Amino acid sequence: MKFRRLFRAALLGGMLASVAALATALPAQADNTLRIKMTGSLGIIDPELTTSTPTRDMAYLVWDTLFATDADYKVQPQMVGKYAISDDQKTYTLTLRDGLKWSDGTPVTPADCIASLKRWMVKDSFGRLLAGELDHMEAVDDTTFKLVLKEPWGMTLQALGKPGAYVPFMMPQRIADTPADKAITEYVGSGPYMMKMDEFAPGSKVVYVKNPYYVPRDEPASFLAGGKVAKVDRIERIDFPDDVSAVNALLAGEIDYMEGVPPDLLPTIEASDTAEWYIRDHLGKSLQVVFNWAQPPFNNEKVRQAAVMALSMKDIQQAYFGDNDKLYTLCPAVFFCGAPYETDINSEHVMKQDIEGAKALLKEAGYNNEPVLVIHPTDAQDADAYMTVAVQNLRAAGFNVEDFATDTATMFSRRTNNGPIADGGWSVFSTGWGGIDMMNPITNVFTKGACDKGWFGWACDDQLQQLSAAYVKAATPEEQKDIAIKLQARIYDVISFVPMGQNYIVVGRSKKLSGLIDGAVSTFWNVSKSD
Amino acid sequence: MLRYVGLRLLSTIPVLAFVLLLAFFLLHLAPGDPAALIAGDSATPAQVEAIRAQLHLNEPLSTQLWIWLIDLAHFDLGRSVFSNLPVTQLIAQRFEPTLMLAISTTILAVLLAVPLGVIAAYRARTGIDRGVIVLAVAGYSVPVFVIGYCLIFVFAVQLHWLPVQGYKPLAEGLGGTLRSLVLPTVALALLYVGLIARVTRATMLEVLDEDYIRTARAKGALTLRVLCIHALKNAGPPIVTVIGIGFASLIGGVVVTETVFNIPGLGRLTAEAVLRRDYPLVQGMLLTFAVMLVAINLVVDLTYPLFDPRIRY
Repeated sequence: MKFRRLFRAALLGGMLASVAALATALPAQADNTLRIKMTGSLGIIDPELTTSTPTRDMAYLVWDTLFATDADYKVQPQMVGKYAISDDQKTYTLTLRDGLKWSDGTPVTPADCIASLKRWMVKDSFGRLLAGELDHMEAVDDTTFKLVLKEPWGMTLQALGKPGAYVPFMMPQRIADTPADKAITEYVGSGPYMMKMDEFAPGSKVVYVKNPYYVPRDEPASFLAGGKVAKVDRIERIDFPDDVSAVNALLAGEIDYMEGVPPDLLPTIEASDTAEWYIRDHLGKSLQVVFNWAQPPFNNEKVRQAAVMALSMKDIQQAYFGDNDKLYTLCPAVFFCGAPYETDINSEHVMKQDIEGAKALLKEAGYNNEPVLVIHPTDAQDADAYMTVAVQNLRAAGFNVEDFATDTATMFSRRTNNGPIADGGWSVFSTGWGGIDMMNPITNVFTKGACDKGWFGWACDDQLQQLSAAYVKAATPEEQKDIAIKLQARIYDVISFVPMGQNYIVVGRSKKLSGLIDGAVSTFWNVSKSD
Repeated sequence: MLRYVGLRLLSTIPVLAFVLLLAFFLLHLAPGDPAALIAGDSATPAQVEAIRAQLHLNEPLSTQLWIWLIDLAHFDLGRSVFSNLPVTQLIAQRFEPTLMLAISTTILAVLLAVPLGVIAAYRARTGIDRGVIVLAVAGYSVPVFVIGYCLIFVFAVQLHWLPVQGYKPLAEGLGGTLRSLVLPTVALALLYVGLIARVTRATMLEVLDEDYIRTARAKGALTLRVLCIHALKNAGPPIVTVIGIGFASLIGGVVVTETVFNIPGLGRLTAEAVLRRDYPLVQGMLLTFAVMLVAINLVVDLTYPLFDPRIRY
């Protein structure tokens, strides 16, 4: 009996305590904390292990670069304070800014930078090119080191300041000595923020706090260059598996920033008093349709050309964006519209669907109803919409299409197989490289024509190889542009891929935010949050 | 009792072994390649291959299984191939939200469902009974995400009473935890109210026809006492079994609810791990679920003698 009374009293007490706790809990955190929802999830932290965009974007908070790209796509010194190029154009002497320290308080040294560059050169195509041109690197003193080239190479600074996949981030030597294929386990950088590993919950939350040792440049921030002033004390990157929940959280003020708002949710944000949306990057990314050159029927140039004629860029983009044509552009340029090498050369068939022409060309090519396996990831809303239309386009032209509905993980795996379909191979897949990589023929994977050493699809073409090599050696910007135009013309002859529309990065943000920097990379220095 | 517990625990070993082996082979035979996912969309085939070699994914399946079993024998579930964090740490991070949600949902569901089931049985074949059945069927039939989005719209977006999303850990204060649990608990509990209320009603109907109930009434016992003490106690085992199964399902992760309310629980962790082909993490999760399921079933079995003294172990 006594026990029962005690039990009842405890139950009642617990309920009352719960109600009291619920009533007194503060609904919002008072703070100078920026809460963001980004596209994708941050699982891998090491920026030299993966080309994942979330990894790269968040790495810019933690690590810094010797040089960086500004808003005009020009390379500017970043960790480097001053630099000199020798008269013979073969020696680059780089002096680090005064007072640069890692987030553990130790000074940044030339040995750290040399080790970091060596690790990066193993992974990155631009880095490998630089490694090929390099004779040696050597430290001069505590803040200065030299890059000595075998021959003059005008793209050295461009390589060091590249912003796309595999950014040459600087790390302490003890970390940078980690083999390039092995993940680093210590995350010490010289960027404006530090990652709080004790709060790292992959797939859920990642927290960054100010790096107390960071010394920003004096110049104003300009994309990835200039003064990276950490204005908010703390950044919480919160993962949302559902975009509707994220938009609701933005409207309720629980998050301040949402990257990648789906087009169907934009009207909800437009109706809000507290939030708004904008296009952060007018280069954005494009949809790239890739054909498997290693297997029939796309080992036949005419069949590839017929496929291009069958595809409708407008229909494909509308499948996801509907009538909201502010969010995409029908762009004929291999190197992106709005970028320096924009051209429409040889793009007539890319821009205009011609089903009858495609049928005729297929007949001329001797297409014999060979199966075409289209990898169709259904777990990504945009890719699902795009490929649904692409499949119908190809069928309308007479291709014998097997619509292989699957998830992105399987697509990533299957596209590595260059064997026949029966052995797990494929015919067509789509991907979405961003403008920041596509705009440069060195980092654009579709320009190489490098056969089995090239990117998935294994496009194989001597002329593309020669033009790519010529671009690397081009002496002037005019010569580079001329080669880029020739590359596009050749790409649309042999179809190493076909772009099917360029779309922009759409961001929803709280109206309390100011100082956001536009561009392809999400940057959160310079950002303030008002009360 | 101890002998029974010992035997039950021993009998779980082959079950766990079977579950683990099946999970290991099914997972590795499924299409997908973690190396390709780690390398990222922009990696070259050579870079993917290098990562595959680094992760020993080119080794025969039997070798990979052997390595995993050796680690397991040392109580090491390995590391996530993505985050490189220990699997145990990742599971521990997600355990609290799931456990708290399971507890709050179970408490709310039991507090609502058992009285409803008892009343429905007591008023069998009346309007009240039919009302409870309709409520139960509706709770069971309406998808959780529909209820969830409606609750969020009204109580979080419009009224700003409760948060839209997320989970506040207990370490940051009980109030925050409870606030973050209210909406997902209500959404999930409606489902379990339907289930538990129906089982309670059905069991109570059987018990209420028993002779000892008639005897109790003939002795002049109050209706409340007859229902709660004489009938409900005897109807306990099936109800507790359903509650136990429900609790085990909740612990196993409720992916949709966790997704709608952005709760970083075990369900989402499992779904993410499967989609990323994070083999060590999926295997660790399955082992955890299997052990918890066994433990919950054992606890449920051990409660039977509390309701029915004839049951002895």
